[in-house]
Amino acid sequence: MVYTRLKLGIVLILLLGFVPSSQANTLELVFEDGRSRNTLYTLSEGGVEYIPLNQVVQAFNLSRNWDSLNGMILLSYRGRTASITPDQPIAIVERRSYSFKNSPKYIEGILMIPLDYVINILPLLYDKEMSWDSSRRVLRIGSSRIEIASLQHAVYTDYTRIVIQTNKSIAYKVVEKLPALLILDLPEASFILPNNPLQVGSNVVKTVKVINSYGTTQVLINLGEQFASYNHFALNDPPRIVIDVYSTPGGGNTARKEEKPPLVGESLNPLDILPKARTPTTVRAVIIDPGHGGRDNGIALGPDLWEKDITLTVAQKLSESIRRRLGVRVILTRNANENLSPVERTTLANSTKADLFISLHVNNSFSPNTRGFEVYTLDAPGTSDNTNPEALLVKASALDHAQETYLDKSERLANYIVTAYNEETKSKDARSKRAPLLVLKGAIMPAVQIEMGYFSNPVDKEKITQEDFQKLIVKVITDGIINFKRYLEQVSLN
Amino acid sequence: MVERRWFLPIVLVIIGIFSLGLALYFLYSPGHFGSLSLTGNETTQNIDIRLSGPTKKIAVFLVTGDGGSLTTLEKEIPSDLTLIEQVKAVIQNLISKPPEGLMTPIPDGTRLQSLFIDSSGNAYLDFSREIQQSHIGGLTAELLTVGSIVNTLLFNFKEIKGVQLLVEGSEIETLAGHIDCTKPFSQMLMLENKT
Ligand SMILES: [Zn+2]
Repeated sequence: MVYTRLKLGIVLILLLGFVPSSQANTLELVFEDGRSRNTLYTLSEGGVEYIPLNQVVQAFNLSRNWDSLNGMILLSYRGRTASITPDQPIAIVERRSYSFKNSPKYIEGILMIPLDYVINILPLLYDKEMSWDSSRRVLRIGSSRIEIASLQHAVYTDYTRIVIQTNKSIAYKVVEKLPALLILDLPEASFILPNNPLQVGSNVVKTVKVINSYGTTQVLINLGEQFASYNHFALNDPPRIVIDVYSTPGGGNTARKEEKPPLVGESLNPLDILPKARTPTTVRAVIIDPGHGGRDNGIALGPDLWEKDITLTVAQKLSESIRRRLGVRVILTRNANENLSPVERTTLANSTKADLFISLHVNNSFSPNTRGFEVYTLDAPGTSDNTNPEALLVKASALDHAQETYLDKSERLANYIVTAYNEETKSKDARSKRAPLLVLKGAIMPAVQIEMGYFSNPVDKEKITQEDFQKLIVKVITDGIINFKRYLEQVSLN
Repeated sequence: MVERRWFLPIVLVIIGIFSLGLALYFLYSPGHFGSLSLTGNETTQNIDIRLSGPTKKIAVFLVTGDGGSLTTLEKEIPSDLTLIEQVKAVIQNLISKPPEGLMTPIPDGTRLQSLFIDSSGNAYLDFSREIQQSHIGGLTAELLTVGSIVNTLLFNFKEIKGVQLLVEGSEIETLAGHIDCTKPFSQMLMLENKT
């Protein structure tokens, strides 16, 4: 830590030497929860104060990624992201744009962030209140905002339990609107809940919904016909509020029952008419999807050669390799020049009860420079909150959120394949990425889409039709699956 | 501490005057991209769009010549248009021939046939069949095409909460076989790589 500060100090002193009319300064970061104090070195140029990006990343415990679609640097904190683009006073936070006064810029090769970005944009990303005291040059980072971490439920014979987990203990009060509604009044909290409203559908609780209402946050518990009484209490480790809703009277007076762990994953939306979600413990069957086919040719690779042909050739070779090396069942979504929509492919995969899904494609871009082997998992941004609930219900189909449960495993599979490729070729040509891919969205199993190479890149284009390169692809994908299978088996043993 | 108090009212008055000035500046300055300096920084005249009256600055997402990623280019559109007209003008700018060094990811001959914005702020853009038929294909190219349209609209118009692409009046599953176009995009499209 001391060393890093020293290093930054030296860098700044050097910068001062090179950049005329610049001025060095410091500012204090004070974390109000008493954890730490941090000194940031700043540099003023043209009346604008800048902080090196590295320092900001370190002090705020952010991670830094690259958004290759928009050519921006992404800072992330607990799954939220904010962008930085050199020479543009615009940031995209949680995929909406915000403007600020001065652009980030490179000074002597170091990316510098203007102070107003730190003061105005970082609070949108960071989950804590911030205040800037310009006379004392102190940026105070307040205590955490209240956050609802999860909403869970469990249905027992005589009562239904609702568990609202928060990031810290909070005061709450229950407002009765009997017989239809119980309202839990909380201080204003932030929440990103995948299952809001929560469809419970028991005889005592229909739905649970978390909403923001005039500076407070409310949990609305819609009661069912059999409702008779309720009981509530707060627990710690993790902090949570528990509400038990009974079908028998006096539930609130009986001794508090032993809290059973909420049944996670049991809160399926009634719209979900899918086969029940399964947790794969090994790989018994693999489904391979040769991209495109029939009327849909994909990319034109040559006078009489299409993406759909290459994907089928490689899929057949891959199928043979997996069968031979893993001894498992392999199914192809198509084994000829057939027309299949993305949704039909996923449905096929789900109905065969395969344990993993691999879609094969050839990539293409507008520039000859982009190249490489890419393994994609689903980018599943939360559903928009702008659509009204009814419209959302009509629009929501059973397949919409199916893959979300498997994203961790899908990413693991992607990483195993990427690693296998890079090890085999002793390169860094393979990457894993995310995109909103229709064919992956509805898959109820770990699922990846592999883009074998860029037709728009001369080197990749040359390789893609070669026997040797196809053999290499088949080998690394099989290697990846073998490692993934090993991982699944290990996890299920523990 | 005590001797400092006397200047507090003066400071407050100064802050007051400053804020008022700032408020007036923002109220009367054209557009909200005041100090924006974007790549290229070029204002291309467009035959379809008159630029005689008051204008507002917008940014369109185009493909970079080198990296195959998107970048923003500043343009101007008349500011005294309805939202629908503004969106049409922005899409027109996105489709028209970009300056040297940039490319539009929208296929040649593509026309925006109609445009509808519903009460939830979802914009439905009906494109002619060229956007699909003349597309070069491939996931990255498709993502750049969809991303340029979606990001341009979500970036410039706070009123627009979602963007859905239609082709010849019909909903589409995908534009070129990969990207999920079955619902409005409510967030800008990004592609995250670990650095
Ligand atoms: Zn494809």
